[in-house]
Amino acid sequence: MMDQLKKVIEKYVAIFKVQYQTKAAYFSTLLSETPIIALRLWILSQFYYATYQTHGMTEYKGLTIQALIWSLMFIQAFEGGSFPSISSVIDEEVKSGSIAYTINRPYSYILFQYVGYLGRTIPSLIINLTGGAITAWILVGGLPATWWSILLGVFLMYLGYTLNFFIEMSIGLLSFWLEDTESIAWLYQKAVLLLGGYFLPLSMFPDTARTVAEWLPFGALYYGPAQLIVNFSLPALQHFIFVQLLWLIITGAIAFYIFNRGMKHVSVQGG
Amino acid sequence: MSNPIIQVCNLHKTFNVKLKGGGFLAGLQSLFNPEYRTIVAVENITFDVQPGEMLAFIGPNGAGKSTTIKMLIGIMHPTRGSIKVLGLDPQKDRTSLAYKTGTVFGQKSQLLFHLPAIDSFNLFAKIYELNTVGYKQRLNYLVEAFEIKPYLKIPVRKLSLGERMRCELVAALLHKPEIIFLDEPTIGLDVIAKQQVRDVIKYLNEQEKVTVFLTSHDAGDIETLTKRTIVINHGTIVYDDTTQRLKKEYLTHKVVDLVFEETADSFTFEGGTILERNKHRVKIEVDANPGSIERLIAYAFERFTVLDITIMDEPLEHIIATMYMEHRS
Repeated sequence: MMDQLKKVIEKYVAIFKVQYQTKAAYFSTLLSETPIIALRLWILSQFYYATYQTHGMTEYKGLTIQALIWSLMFIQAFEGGSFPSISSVIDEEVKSGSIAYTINRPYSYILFQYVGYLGRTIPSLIINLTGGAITAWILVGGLPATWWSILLGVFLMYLGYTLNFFIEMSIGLLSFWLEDTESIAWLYQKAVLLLGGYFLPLSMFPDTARTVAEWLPFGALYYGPAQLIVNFSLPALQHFIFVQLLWLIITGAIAFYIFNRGMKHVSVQGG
Repeated sequence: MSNPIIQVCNLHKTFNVKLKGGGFLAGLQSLFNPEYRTIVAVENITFDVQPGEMLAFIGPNGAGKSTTIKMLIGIMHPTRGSIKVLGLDPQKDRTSLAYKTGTVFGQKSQLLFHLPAIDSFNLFAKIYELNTVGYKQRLNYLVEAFEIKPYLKIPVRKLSLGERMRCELVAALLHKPEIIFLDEPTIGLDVIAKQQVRDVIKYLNEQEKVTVFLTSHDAGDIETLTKRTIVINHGTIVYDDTTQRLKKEYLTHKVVDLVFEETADSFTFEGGTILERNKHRVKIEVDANPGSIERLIAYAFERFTVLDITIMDEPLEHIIATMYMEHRS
C-alpha cells in the first residue's frame, strides 16, 4: 500500500520535474519577462508618485507608495509566472491531436496538467520575483513585510495559482466542444487585468465596485496574496482565504464536470 | 485457438461536423444558426485479434482506421457496439488498459520535444510505475535492439524522422505492453528508415510476442510484416483475410519509374503497360513477379543510359478501390 502510494507520488513529482526542466531549458525566454515587469513598475511608480504628491498624501486606503509598488510587483510577478496558460496548452493539445497521447496514460489527466502547470510556473516565478524585487527596491526601497506575512502570502499565492489553474483548465476543456477557446481565454485574462488589481488596487475602487471585485475570483488570484504580504491584517487573511476556498470548490467542480462530460465528447483530430 | 486479445462487435462511430461557408457573412450565420453534417466514421465493424498476431488494418485517408484505434485504446467513445481489449472495456478501464498497451501515432510525437529522448524515457518509467532496476534493464535492452544509443542525449527536435520514430517505439515499449497500436509508423520516412522501423516491429513481435495492430498507407509495410490484413473503406470492412491472399489477388503489379539520359521515344517494352511518358522518363506498370521486373531492367540497361530507377508498389488506394467495388457488387 505504502509502496504503491510512493510510486504514485513519484509519478507526479517526475511530471513536475520534467515540465520544470523544459521551461528552465530556455533561460533567455524566461528572462524576457523581467524588463517588461520593470518597465511597468517604473511607469506605475511615476503615476502613483505624481498622484500621491498632487493630493499631498503619504498613504491612501491603508497603502503607502512603498507598499503599493511592492504589491503591484508581486501581482505582476505572480501573474507573469503562469504562462503559457493552461487553457492554451489544452487547446493546442486538442487542435494538434497530441491529446491522444496525453490522455491515454495511467494517471489522472487533470492532476497531470496541474503538476505540469506548477512545474512550468516555478522557473518563471523565481526569475520574475528576483527581477521585480530588485526593481521595486530601487524604485521605493525595501519590502514592508514580516516573515509571517510573506509566509502566509506565499501560501495564498499557491492557492491563487490553483484557482487560476481550475479556471483556465475549464476554459481549455471547452475545446472538446468549441473550435477555438482563445476568445474566452482572452476575456478571462482581461478580467484579471481589470479586476485582479493588476494596475489599480481593489482597495482604491469605489465602494460598491470594491465589494463586488473582492468577492470575484479575479481578485482572489494574486491581489489577495500580494495585499497580505505588504499590508497584513487578520480580517483580510480570513476574507481572502474564504473567497479563494469558495472559488476553488466551485471552479474545481466545474473543471472535473467538464472533463468527465468532455471525455465522452472528445474527438481527437487527425490520423 | 486461444481467446481473442481484442474483440470488436458491431462497432459504430458517427461525428457531427459543423458546416461553414466562405466569407464573413457565412461565418456569422454559422455562429447563430449552425448547420451540422453527420459523418459515419466507422460502420458496424466486427473482428477479433488473437494474442501474438501481427495485423494490418489498412485503408485510405478518412476510412476510419485511426478512429478505430482511438476507440480501442479508450480515448474515444463509440456511438454503439462493444469492444473488449485484454478482457477490459477500454472506455471504462482506460487507465488500467494503458498499463498493458502501447501506442505510436506516426504523425504525432509523445516525446518531450525540447529535451533529450532519455528524459522522456525516464518520465514514462515513473508514469508507468516501473521499478528502477527493471526499467534500466528494459531500457538497455531496447536501446540496443533499436540502435538508438547515439540519439539518447540529443534534444528530440534535432533528430531525423527515422531516428525519432525509433525513439517513439522505445517509449511505447518501455512498460512491456501486451499490445501495441501503431498508427502509420512509417509515414514520411525514407526507404532506409522505413526498413529499420519494419525490422524493429518484426523483432518485437517475434521476440517479445507483442500483438501488433498496425495501420499503414504503405503496401510495403503490410507485405513485409503482417500475416493477416483487414481493409476498411468508408467505415466498413471490405477485406479480412491473409496478407498472402491479398498479395496474390491484389498486389499483382509494380510501377517502375525510369529516367534516361537519351530521349525515351524509342522505349517499347512489351511486358508492361506504359502509364506515363515524357522526354526522358517512362513510368511503366509490370507484373509484381521478379522475372518481369528483371526483364524490364535488362531491356532498359541494354538500350538506354539509365540515370534513375524507382520501383514502387501499386498505390494502396487503387487496390482498395478495386476491393471496394468487388465488395459492393
